[in-house]
Amino acid sequence: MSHLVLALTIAGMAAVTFGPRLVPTLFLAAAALPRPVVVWLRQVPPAVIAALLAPSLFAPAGTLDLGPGNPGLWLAVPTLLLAWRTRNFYLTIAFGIGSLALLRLVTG
Amino acid sequence: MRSVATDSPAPARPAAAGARAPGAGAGPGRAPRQPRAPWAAGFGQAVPVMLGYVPVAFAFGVLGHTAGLPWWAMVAMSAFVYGGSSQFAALQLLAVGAAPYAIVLTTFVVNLRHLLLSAAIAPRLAGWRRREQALFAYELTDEAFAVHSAQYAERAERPKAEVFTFNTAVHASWVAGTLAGVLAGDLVTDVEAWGLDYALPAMFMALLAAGVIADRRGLAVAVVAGGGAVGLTLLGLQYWAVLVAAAVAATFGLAVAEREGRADDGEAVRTEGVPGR
Repeated sequence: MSHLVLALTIAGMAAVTFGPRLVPTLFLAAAALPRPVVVWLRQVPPAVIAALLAPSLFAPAGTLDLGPGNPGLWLAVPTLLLAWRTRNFYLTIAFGIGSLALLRLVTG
Repeated sequence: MRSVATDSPAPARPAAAGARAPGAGAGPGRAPRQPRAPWAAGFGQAVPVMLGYVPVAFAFGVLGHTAGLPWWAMVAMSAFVYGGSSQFAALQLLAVGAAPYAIVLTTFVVNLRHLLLSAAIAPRLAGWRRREQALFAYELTDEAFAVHSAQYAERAERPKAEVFTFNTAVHASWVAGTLAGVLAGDLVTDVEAWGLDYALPAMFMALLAAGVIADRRGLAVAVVAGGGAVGLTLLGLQYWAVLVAAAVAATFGLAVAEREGRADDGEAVRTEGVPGR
């Protein structure tokens, strides 16, 4: 692929990515939305975050992996408990990263 | 690497995260902290995301180098497209010589989920200038959405300096990581050794457990969305998983809210005569 075509391809990628990010923002920022729509949109953050998180825990390689070869799934239990009990953002992340690194160190 | 179905990310893996917003002062039961400057708060919120982004962007740069793509193309993708999973997908397609239209179309599908993120966060930007809204939207990745949602749930009004410091720092880490990967080239790396592939999942967990899930209904919505996303991923529909599972779960949450006859946000309100029901 020539450099020009490559550059145009990237420009196209940028355009089709920016569009879905931009259009709802511009149209909904000041709109008076019907109540059910507002309630629906309030459900989106927990829904999106859970939808991002769950596959990375249960299927890190795209297939279901509930075994010992998938330590991130089992570490999620204490990590979630810690987050819920302490409500401490940085402590939770440090615990998750540190535990996984330690686990890999120990299990080779 | 672990997967992150996100905007940051990894090819074979979708990513994750979520909690009390850092920089928002003290959590319940903790001593209040000194209020921080807006830029410091924004940067503090960005650190966990940067920890997750840099290794993934680095891997993206290395892969691009391996695939024989010019350095400027990799950096341009990270600067102008700024969508992790779509960048990895494009890289794979470029490596096998796919047609440009196919690459653009795939990118569109992979990044369609941003419609939902943008719609959900838009009401928080009421009163901003158009160009500020556009700049915000330009840098609205999955992780940025997660952090901003949690922060706004705690504080309806946040200084723009805080918001844009976060966005800029996170975006810069994505571009810088890409450039470092391109330059490192043949250097083989193992991000897993440091557990950094768990930075984003841990952040999503922190956000969920410590802020975004306000009540039992929120928990149910999260379970439905997570289960649905896993199911769709196993069916090979990972690029649709977030959008479809989250939309279905939000609809479920709305139905439960209507049935419980309460206002949103978990306020138990008997709703005879509440307008809009």
